Amino acid sequence: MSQPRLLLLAGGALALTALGASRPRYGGELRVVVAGSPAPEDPALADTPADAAISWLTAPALCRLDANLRPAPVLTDEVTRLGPQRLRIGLGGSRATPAAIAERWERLSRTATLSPYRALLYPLRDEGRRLTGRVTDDALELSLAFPWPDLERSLCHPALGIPGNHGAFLSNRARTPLLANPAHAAGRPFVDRLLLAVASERDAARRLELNQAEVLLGAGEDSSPAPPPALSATYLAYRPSRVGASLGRSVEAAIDRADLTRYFVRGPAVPMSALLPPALMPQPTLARPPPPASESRDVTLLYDAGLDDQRAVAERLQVKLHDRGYRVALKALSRGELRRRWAQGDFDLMLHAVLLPPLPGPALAVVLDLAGRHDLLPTELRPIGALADPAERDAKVRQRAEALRETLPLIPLYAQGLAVRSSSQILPPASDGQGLPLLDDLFLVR
Amino acid sequence: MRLRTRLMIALLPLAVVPLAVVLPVAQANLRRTLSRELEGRLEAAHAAAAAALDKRAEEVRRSMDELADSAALEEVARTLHGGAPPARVAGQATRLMSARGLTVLSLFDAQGTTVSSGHLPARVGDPDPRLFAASLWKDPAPSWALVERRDASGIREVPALVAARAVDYGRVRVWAVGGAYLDASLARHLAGLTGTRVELLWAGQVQESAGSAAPPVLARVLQLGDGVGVRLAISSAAQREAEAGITRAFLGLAVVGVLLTLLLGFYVARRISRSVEALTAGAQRVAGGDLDAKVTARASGEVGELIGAFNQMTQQLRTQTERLVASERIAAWQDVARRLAHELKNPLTPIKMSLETLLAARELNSPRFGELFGESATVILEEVERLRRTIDEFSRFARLPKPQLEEVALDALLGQVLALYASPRAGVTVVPQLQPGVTVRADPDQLTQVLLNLIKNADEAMPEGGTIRVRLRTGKGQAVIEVEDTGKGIPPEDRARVLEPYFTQKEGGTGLGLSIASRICQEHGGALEVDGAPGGGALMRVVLPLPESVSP
Repeated sequence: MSQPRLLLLAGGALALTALGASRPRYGGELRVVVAGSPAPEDPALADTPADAAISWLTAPALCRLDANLRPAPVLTDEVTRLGPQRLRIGLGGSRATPAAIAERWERLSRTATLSPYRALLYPLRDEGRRLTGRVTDDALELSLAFPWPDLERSLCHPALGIPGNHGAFLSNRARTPLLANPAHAAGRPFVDRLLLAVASERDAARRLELNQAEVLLGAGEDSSPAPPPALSATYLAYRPSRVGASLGRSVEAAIDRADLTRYFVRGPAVPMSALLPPALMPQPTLARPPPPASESRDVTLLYDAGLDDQRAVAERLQVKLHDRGYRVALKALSRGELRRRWAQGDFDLMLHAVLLPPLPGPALAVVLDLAGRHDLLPTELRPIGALADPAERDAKVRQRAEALRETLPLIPLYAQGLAVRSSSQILPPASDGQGLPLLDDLFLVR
Repeated sequence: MRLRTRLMIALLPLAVVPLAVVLPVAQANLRRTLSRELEGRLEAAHAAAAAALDKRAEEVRRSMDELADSAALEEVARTLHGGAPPARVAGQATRLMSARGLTVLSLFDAQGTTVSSGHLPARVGDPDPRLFAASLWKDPAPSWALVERRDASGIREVPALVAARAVDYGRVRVWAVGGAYLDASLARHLAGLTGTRVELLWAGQVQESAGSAAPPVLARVLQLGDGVGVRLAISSAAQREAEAGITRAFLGLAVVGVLLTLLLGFYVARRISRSVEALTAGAQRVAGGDLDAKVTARASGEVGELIGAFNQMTQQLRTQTERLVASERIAAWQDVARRLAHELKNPLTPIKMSLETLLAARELNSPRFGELFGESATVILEEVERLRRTIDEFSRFARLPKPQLEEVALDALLGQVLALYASPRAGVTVVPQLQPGVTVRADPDQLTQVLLNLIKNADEAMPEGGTIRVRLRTGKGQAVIEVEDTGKGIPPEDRARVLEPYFTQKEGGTGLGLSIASRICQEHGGALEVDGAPGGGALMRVVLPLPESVSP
């Protein structure tokens, strides 16, 4: 056999092997290791992409945005506009009942479980706080208080996920392994089981290298072909009445956002100087303001005990504010306790991460609520929702975000995406419009 | 204050003064001894702490030398030389620091920018001029510098023993400045080593401490650098406790001594004062008229002699008093006898002369015998009558009956008496001033006799006429009757005698009237007092006790 023929045969054999490997097959166990801390059970507390990706497996939202930000149904049959401000969500084929969904969403506005993600439901009549009266056996009818064209896509946000094993996987009390849900509305996942593990960044990387895991979330360089958008935004919230009005200027004068993303925050991360992340609006180049007169004040900075990035940034802020005369005490809290303190306004300084939707309008709503300016939502959202053209709407949002930037007690710091690495056992997972990997679509190639 | 008490108080200093003298001396000696021991311990602790810090400095020097020679630090320099982003080495210092037991380590580029920090990772990207200044030190030995340190409450500057080492790779120089904090762990180490309370001082105050030393303490500061020191403190509470124990023991002895002294003093004083108190009681009884008083307490020495002399003196006084009373009684009876003889003798002369006249006339057969017989018989009868009256009064004086007491309204009684003088002789005026309702227990007949006698005497004392004032009043549990005249009165030298029998200033008086009146008053528990009236006359005062129920 001539050499060219041999090369042709070898090439053909490789092509067949690759084709066989890429063909989805059912069964097997997918091992996912997360660098960091365990994800919270409550989807409304899934503020990081890794948390949201894990939470989605068992508590998905009604729909999922694809890479083009089009909503694809997950728990719904159909979403129908009955009128300009009326929406019908059909749930005939889902195990999630309309009543459970309504109860879940109402929970976001309750005092004990108050969440900035309630702003996603703000365009609904009564701000989405009285939904249980609008359900039928197989549908949820929603009325809008004002036009809001982005509502259908807002409902796809992971924070609006419905717990109760409605996702592609079923979880037990130990939360691992997750078993494939054959009754999942969007279809059974390929793998039979999904094994979740949480490890330090180094250990997680080692597991991947040693083929002890197929997917690594949250550490190292992202290996996916298209980097996901960085929509997990971290802000420094402060209470001017407790820390003084000049603190915001002191922070702006003290911090270098590029330094934060370069030295203290795991990638992929980008500096964020605007209210919304770079994925949603261009970032202005801010001239560092002259520092105000040195102020001697004792303040406490609260941060999420489960996020190493926040700890590092909190320490950085502690050092930089110390140079400005502040004595900053650090206090790490669980995410639930952190959210409770935020809801009560009981903090001096607080690092707050939120997973923003990939839509400027809903994202701005969440940010305004996060800043404690829930009162601004009607005046800001109504004019935006009144614009039918998406481009005009987004432009309006960016213009308002820029205008509101200096007025809110909220200092944007950085935005992060989710680094996803995978072993050769699987094809690299694709990302949805939220930047989350589609773990429920993965299958083992061998 | 009684003699017994004074004796006891006088004995107290015997117990207290010696203790007060000995106590300060004993305490001073004890304090000196214990202080020397404490100073010795503190000196040893000071030396041990200095040695421990020297050892720590040596460890820092060795660690930094080893780090400077390590491939790890060279790798950092090589990484930076290769143009890698500084973030690639940002975490290196933490690893290098912990592997070498250091608590401070920062890696700087040649410009002094922190490329990695183990003790303060958040300082990466910033200059740290204070710590980087160690790179300019000529001496490679560790020295003290203030280094930032982070804790939950904020950033503060803490002294640290640091040294700087440089590593070059090509044109890239990396400075490693590392060492050890002067922190709580070092304080605990020194406290455990020296057995003292260790306080780390800088910025003018205690920053860290370990160990314990109950106050008061004896302390010494080990100076480490500018404003940085280690204060070692040993409790001197044990010394104070020993001193307090000694003081308590002395005070206990003082209390026991005082109690014993009080008991001893009480016993001695009782023995001494018992004789004196018996003498005092005896003297008080003698002063009260009890001449039979005799001191029976037994004593020796001078006190015994004094008791003997007192008893002898009392006995002599009693004997002399009895003799004096007997003499006075004899003298009084002699006086009565003399007066009685005089009174009896006076009538005898006219009787004798009358009888002699009759005898002479009968012998001479005088024709006037009948006339003389009649005259003499008249004289004799008069004198005999006089003798009989004298003897009757004397008998009555001698045999005055016991008064028959009954309730007597004095104003009524006086009214009856004064009624006899309702028509006094010319020139005499009777002025009664009687308080009504005054009642006494008395023999109304005897009391009437007294009052008649007094009013009669007053009347007779004013031959030229005058005023008789009769007053009845009460006061101090007594009823007082006063009879006052405006006659010539009684000379003060005779007032004491007018109540004696047979003393009279009147012509033809027996001198027994006032004596009988005085005796009646005495028989009623009262008295008859003689006084002078303001106008020069006499004032006789009858004082009778009021019954208990009516006494004011």
